[in-house]
Amino acid sequence: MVMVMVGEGVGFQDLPEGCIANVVSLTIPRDACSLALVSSTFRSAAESDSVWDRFLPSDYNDIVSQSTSFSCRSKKQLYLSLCENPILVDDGKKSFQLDKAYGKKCYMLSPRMLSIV
Amino acid sequence: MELLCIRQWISGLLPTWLSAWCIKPVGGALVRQEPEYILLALMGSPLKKIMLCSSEKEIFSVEEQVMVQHSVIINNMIEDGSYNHEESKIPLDCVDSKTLKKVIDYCTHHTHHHNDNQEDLEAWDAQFLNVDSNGLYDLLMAANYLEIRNLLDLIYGTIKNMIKGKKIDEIRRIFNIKDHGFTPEEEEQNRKEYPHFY
Repeated sequence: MVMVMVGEGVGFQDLPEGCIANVVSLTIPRDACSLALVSSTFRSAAESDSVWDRFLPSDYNDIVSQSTSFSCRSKKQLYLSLCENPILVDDGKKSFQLDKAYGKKCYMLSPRMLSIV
Repeated sequence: MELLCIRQWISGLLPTWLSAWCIKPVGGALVRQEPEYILLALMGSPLKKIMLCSSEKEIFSVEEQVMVQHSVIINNMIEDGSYNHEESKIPLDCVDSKTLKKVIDYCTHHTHHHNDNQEDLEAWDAQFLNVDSNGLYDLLMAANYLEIRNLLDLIYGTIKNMIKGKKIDEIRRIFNIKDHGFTPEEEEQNRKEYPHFY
């Protein structure tokens, strides 16, 4: 664990938005939402597409293309939409959504997918 | 003939089994060394150096291969021929001497110790980043400017750990944010809606 001593006159207030975005993208979605409250620069960084693109699953394009009802202005909106509105995938045999805090994939199987062996 | 061409020429002449025999002591451990460098050393050819000039006009001489391996900016300057070894120094007007020395130390250590085990490298990195937040900020700006990916990732990870699990007011203190840029109404609304974050 690296320990950094915090002192007076720290220059971090000049941190470019891109650098803040890189730090935020290393956290989890829940932390990114709270970091957006730190300052207007943090909000801009924390809500950028570059951050939320990293929180979305790598195959989100394939998943989203199976639903016709998606049009989101930003990657954050897309993320929140996938958390709040499950979509049917795999020819309606499964529903998919994201866990809001951590971005984990959640699948629900339809009864047709289950069989007793 | 540029160092890169010499290396490629030598590599082409060497049998592949020779690589297994090319070991040398580095920092107390035996490290596999690229055979072309050993041959160059045996031929008496010194490793090529480049000159970096800090914002305080102090010149630092450093092995070309060290900076080329770590800094995308310097690698591009060497490859596209805009750096002339006989005459030039690379001016780094936004990096002071203290920070530049630390950046060079980082790159040099990681080049010469890249075969060390992960634990030793991490321990070295932890000691390297044992600085105050002004120093950390200066290193971040320098690594960002020179595009040194592994140093940037190390610093981003450190900053993330500094703010992980902290409340908003504490994060503002860490980053010395005196003016958060929200209107009083926005700030009040945020505090009302998310009191647990403050």
